[in-house]
Amino acid sequence: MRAETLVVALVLASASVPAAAEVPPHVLELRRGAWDTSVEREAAGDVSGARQVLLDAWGQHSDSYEVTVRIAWLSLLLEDEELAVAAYRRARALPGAGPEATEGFSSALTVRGLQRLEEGRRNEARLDFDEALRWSPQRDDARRGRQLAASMRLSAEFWGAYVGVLGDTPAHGGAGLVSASFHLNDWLRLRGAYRHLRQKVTIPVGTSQRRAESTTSFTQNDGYFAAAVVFPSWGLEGMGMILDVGEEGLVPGQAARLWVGRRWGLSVDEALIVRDVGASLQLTPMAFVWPTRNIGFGAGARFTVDDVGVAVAGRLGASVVTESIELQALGFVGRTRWAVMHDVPSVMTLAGEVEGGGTISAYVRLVDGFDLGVNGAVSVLPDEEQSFTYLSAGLGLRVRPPLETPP
Amino acid sequence: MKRLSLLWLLALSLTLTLQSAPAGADSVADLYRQSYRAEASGKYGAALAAMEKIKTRTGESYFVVARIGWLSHLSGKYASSETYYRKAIKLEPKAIEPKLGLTLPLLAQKNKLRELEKASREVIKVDAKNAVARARLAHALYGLRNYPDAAVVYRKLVEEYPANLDYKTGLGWAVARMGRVAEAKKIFKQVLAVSPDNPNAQAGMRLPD
Repeated sequence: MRAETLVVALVLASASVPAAAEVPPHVLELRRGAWDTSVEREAAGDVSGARQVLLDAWGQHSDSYEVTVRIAWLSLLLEDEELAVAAYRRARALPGAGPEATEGFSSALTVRGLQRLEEGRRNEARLDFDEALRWSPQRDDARRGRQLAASMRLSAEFWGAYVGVLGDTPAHGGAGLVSASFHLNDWLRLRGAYRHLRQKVTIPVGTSQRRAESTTSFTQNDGYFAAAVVFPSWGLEGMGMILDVGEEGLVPGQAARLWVGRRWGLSVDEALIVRDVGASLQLTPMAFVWPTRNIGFGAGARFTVDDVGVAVAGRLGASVVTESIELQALGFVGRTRWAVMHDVPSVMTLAGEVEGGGTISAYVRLVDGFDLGVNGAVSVLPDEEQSFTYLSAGLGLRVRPPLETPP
Repeated sequence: MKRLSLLWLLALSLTLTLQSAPAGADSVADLYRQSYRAEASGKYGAALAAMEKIKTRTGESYFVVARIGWLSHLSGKYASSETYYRKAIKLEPKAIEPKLGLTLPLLAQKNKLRELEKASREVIKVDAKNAVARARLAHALYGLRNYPDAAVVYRKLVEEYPANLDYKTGLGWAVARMGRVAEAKKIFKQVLAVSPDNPNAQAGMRLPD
C-alpha cells in the first residue's frame, strides 16, 4: 500500500461535502457534454436551446463561473435582462471571475435600465444605470440612459422656419418658435411655447382686364402653457393657450390630453378655441401601438365642431426612435379647421381650413444633450373657388442639459 | 507511516504464521516477506502470487484483498484490482482506503471514467477535503466533457495546493475547453515558468487563440 495513499486517506474531513457530490446521477449525466452542446446550439442560431442545456444541467445557481457567465451572456442575447443581471452579478462573485463578467454585468444593467425606462419604471432604471456606471464609468449608453431616466429634466427647443402659402393669395414669410419642457420629478411635467410668425401676403386686385397686386403683411403670435401628470401607463395634460391672429386679435383657447397605455393604447386630444365667429371644439382620438421598441404607429381621426359644421379628418402616424434619430410622420385626409397641434413644433397650424396634408419632423443627435431638429409640413385645400397649398420647413436645436449627476 | 504499517504487517503476519503454517511449505510470514521484497524490487507479479498463496491459506481478510487489489493494479490487472478493491470496500464499508484504492484501476482504464467519477465521489462523500479523490474526480469530469465542474474542482485544488502543477495544468485545460484560451495560457505560462519542459503546459501553449 503506498504511503501517500494512506496519508491522504487518513486526512480527516472538516468541511462539508461539496455540492457536486450531492448532485443526482441523472443530472450528472446531463452535464456530460452539455457545454459543447450549448456552444454548438448557439453556433447553429439556437440561442434559447443553448441556454436551456446549461439550465437543465446546472440550474441558475451553478458553482461554475463559466456556466454562470455563459447563462448570463445567452440571457442577454435572448433579451432576458432579469436573468442576465442576476447571473452576471453571481458570476462576478465566483472563483475564476474575469473582466468579462464585470463588462457583461454593466451591459445587462444598462439594457435592463433602458427596458425599465421604456416601461416607465424610472426610479428602478436610475438604479440600474447608476450601478452600471459604478462598475464601468466610461459606458456611454449607461450615461445617456441615466440622463434620460433623470427625475428632473429640462428640454428647450429653438426653431426657425420658412412658412409660405401658394395659391390665389400667395404668402411667404418666416416663423420662430421657442419651447421648453421641464420635468420637476418623475410624474409632473410643465411645458410652454411661444411662436411668432410674419408673412407677406400678395392679394390680387382689379378686374380681369386690369389685374394688379397689393401686398400686405400678416402676423400671428401664439403660445401655450401646459402641466401634465405622467405615469407609466397613463397621463393627463391640461393646457391654456392664447393666439394673436392677424386682424382677428386675441383668441383664447384651452386643450387637454389623456393617454392610457405604453406599448399600445389610446389617446384623446381635446382643444377649444374661442374665435370671433364662435367656438371651435376639436376632439382627436388616436390608437397607438409600438410593435418594437423603435417603431410605433398611430391611427385615429380629428373631429372639428364649429360654426361651419362638423368636419372629420382621418389621421395616420408613424414614429421611429433610435439612439441617434427620432422621426415622426403624420398624414391626414379630410377637412380640418384651425387644427391645434401640440406634438410637433408649432402651436396651431397656419392653415385655416385644409383637406389633407402631412407633417414630418426629425431630431438627429449631434452630441450629448444637443439634437438638430428638422420639420416640414404641407397641407392643401383643393377647393374649386380658392385653392391653397400651405408649406413650412423648419430647422431647430433641441438642448437637454443634464440636471442630475450620476454617482 | 509506511514504517509503522510495515511493522504492523510484520506483527500480523507473525501471528498468522504461528496459527496456520502447514508443515513443509513456506510459512505465511515468509510469503509476506517474499511479497514485500518482490514489490520493492518491482516484481509485482511475484508479489501478487505470494499474496494469492496467503489468501488460499488465511482466507479473504480485509488486508489480504486490499493488498491483492493494490498489487493487481501494479501488475496491470485492472479488472482483478477493481474486483478486490470492491471486496475490500464490502469488508470495511467505513474505510476510505479501499474506496480511494478503487479509483486507481479505474483511473488506469480510459473507458471507466463514469465509474471513476462515481468512485471518487464516494471518497469525497466521507472525506470532503481529500485532494487525491478530488483530483481524480476532476480528471474524470474533464474526460467526460463536463468541463465546468472539472474547472470548479481544479480551481479549488489550485487554491489549496498552489505548487501542484498537475492541478494547474488541469485547470488550464478545463478553462481552455470552455473557450477561455487566453486565461488558460496565463495558467500554462505560470507552469512553464517553474517547469519549462512540462509537456501538458507546452501543448496548452500551442492552442490557437
